[in-house]
Amino acid sequence: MTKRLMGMLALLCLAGLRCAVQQPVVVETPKVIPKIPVGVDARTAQIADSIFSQVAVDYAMSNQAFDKFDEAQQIEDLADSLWRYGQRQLLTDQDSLAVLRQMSQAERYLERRPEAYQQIRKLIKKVGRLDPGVRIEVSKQLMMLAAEDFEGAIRSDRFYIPYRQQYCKFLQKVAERLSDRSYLDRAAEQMERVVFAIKGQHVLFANLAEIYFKLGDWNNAYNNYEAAKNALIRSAIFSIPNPQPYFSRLAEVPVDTNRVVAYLNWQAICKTKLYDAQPALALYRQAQRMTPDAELKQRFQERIDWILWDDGNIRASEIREKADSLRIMAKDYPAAKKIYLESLLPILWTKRTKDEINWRIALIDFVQLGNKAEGVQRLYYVVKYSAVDSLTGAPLDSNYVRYFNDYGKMCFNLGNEYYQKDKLIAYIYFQQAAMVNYNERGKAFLRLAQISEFDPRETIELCQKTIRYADALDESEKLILYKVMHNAYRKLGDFKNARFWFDKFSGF
Amino acid sequence: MGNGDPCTIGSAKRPKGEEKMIRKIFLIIWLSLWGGVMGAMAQAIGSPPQEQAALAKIDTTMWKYLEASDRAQWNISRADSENAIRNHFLPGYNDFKTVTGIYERIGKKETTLAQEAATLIRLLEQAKDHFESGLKIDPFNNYLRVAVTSTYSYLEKLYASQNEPIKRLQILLNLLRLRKEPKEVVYLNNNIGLIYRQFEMWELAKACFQRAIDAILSVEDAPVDTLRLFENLYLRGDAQFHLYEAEPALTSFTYARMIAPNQTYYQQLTARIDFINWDDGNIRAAEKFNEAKGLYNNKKYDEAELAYLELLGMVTTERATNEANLALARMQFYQMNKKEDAIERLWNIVSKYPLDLDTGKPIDKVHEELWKEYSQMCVFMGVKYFNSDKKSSFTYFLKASQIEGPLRGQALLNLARASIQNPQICLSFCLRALNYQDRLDPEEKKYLYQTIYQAYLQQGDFDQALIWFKKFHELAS
Repeated sequence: MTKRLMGMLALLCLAGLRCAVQQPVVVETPKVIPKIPVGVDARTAQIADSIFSQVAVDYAMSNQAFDKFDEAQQIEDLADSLWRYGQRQLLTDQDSLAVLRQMSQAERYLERRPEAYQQIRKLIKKVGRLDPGVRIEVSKQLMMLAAEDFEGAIRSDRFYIPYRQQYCKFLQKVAERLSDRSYLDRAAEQMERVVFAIKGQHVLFANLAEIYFKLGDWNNAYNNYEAAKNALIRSAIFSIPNPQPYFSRLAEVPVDTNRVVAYLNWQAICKTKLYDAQPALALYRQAQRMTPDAELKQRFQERIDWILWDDGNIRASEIREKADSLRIMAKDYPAAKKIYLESLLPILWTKRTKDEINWRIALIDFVQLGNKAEGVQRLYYVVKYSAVDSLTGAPLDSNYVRYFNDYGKMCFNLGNEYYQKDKLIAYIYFQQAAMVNYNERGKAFLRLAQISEFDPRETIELCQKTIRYADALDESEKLILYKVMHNAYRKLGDFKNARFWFDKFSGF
Repeated sequence: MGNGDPCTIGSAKRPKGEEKMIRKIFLIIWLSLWGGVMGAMAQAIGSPPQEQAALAKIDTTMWKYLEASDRAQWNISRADSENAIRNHFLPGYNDFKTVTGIYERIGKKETTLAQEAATLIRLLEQAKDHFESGLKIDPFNNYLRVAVTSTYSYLEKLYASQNEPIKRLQILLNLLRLRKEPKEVVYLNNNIGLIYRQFEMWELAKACFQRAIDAILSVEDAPVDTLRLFENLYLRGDAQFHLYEAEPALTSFTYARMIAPNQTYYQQLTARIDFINWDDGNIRAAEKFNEAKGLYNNKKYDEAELAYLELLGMVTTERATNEANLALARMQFYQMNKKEDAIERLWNIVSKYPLDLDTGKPIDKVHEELWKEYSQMCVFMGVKYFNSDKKSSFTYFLKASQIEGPLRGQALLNLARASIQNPQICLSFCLRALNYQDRLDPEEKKYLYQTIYQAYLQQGDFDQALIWFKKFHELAS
């Protein structure tokens, strides 16, 4: 008995030992053996397989890719339609019917994404099929599904460029709808692969540039527009029907000018975004020269002017634009003033733009915010330090005329304000206004003449100055002038002249 | 050379001593003719039964009388001699005289001779019977011997003109017992041989031509008649050929070729030699090959295929095996639409012979044709699969591109065409195809240039693209 037990024990030990030394089962991954066509050696088949995988796919894969792509487009159309319906109310029964039909179609597709499908089902249960939120949600899920199909098509045939192009357009649309930049990143990655393989098609570079542009990657956008432009110009000869005459005159090869101008424009915008004024200007000027369209020429000129506002200080132009927008559109004067004052003024390069912005602030202060003293004071310095004609006192830079005018008006208005309260201060403001060469200078002289009525000689002198700038006077002011002259002469006992001005006054 | 003739399949009886002698002669002939009587018998058995039966009727009874040489062995009395003259020679002579009279009358007019042939034959046969009866009584009677010889000669010619080969053979065989002059021996053996040849009794024919050759060469005091020698050598070779005796046949043909009277014969003999040498003397295989080719020429492809397959079971040498396989593969590929079978067959052969990877040529020049044909088939296979199985098509073109052949450029061009989506690889094929552009037709060349400029264009190398674009337009114009 003991022997038998010992024997069994020995057997068990042996079995255990065998188990212990047994090699682990190695599951070999099957090597991919290429199909060897009859009458060819395996080595050649292997090499062919390796090269072929770098140049094309077989018909089966190509067909599979086409089917996927086709389905992706159908789903995309459905998603688009539901998205559009999601953006508005369903006005008619036909709309509702169409939505219901599309929803049931969409649900069939969404069965492929069980989790999403379950959520949609729950949502539908809660708010009903016709709820705009449901439409949007279904559209989103369909877009995800379409993306999967597009990627499937590309995986099946990675050589067929139109699949990637279409997918990139789709991704851009999704990025815009979902406000998700990651889709743009994916699109850029796809198109990078395309242009890595094919460098001769301007459209592909332009597609990529557009994506980078949307991403705000201005350098890459610029470079790809440059590549697109280059490819467009240099490949032009290859697509004209009778190219031989141009072989010796390559510069004369007809090019799609509209496209070149468009690429130049986008490049200029990129350079503007990069605050690189000189290249941007050069590009706009080139585009301006190339385009035959007068309207476009004008638009490019506006862009050039915009850049040159502060001698190429693009940031300043941008800030100014932002502040102008607040001032004009939003009428938010304090905010506008804050930007002008705090963001813009410190960065301006030129005196001209500084004066302009000071003028703007002065106007806001004086007119909109009621800080008249501050306003007039600011403008005073602008006018004071402006270059003027030594004889006439008029600004040498025609842009300054408006500052002079506004300053003169401000002083005049302040003079008027103080006229009843404090004649002296009023007199000083009128005096100040009269000293400035501005378009309503005559009014200031008139007011001065009125204040100086106790001194007829002075009054006559001031009136004569007023007459010199009489264009600015309206009818009532002219009457006052005649009256003041008449009084002054009468006071001096010069009745002849007094009579003359009286007649003028009466005749008026 | 002995007097014996292998044509002893008749039932003639001979004296015992003679029989021994004949056996000896047979043995000598046996050895000298590199062949066996068994072969001849087999050949004889192989000939049509009607002719065999006719040949079996050859009467050899006269031969012992015609060949009689030792008078002492024969017991002939004076009365017998007189009897032979009176009762046999004279009646026969009368008939013979009538014949000579007719001949004198008609002269050399062939047409009249043909009209009189039946009469002449009848008279000569009567004369022959008389003379032969006389000779049976007295074989040594000179009158009878001369008379029978002349009669045989007339009859032989008449039977020749009347196309009676069996009867003529009988006469010729009898004459052979009478005439011993080398020239006559040559003539007789040659003609007997030709009749045996006519009935495809090759062993017997071969022996006759051999005897004729021996007789030609036995003349010592006169120059050798090379024309006769050539003829008999050729005929001996032909008989040996039909007996599938390759080595002897080659010897005969080689000697004959050395003295061929003109270029035509020389070429014919060269062709025969090549034929025998096709499978190193395996004549049956060579014949089968010819048969298969004949069937192919008659567009009986299924039968030709069977013949080729049978042939492949027969051939012994590598060269012949290759040639047969090549012919079969070509037929299967181009005529029978069995392209896969054909290319596999050819691949199984060419794969044994390595290629020089630099030149794409087989290391042994002998195999160039095989490789060339294989490479062409690869191109055609590539084209066949281009619209259904791109990868297989690509593989075939790639294989063809590795081999130096007339379609190498086309193979590379097709590879480029298939690779257009990868400009770098496409260009590498294009630039290789340029080395073979002289093998491309104008359209293909244009297509090559177009592919090159498109590939450069895709690569964004506009300068190079323009260069090739210009070249493309130069070609186009």
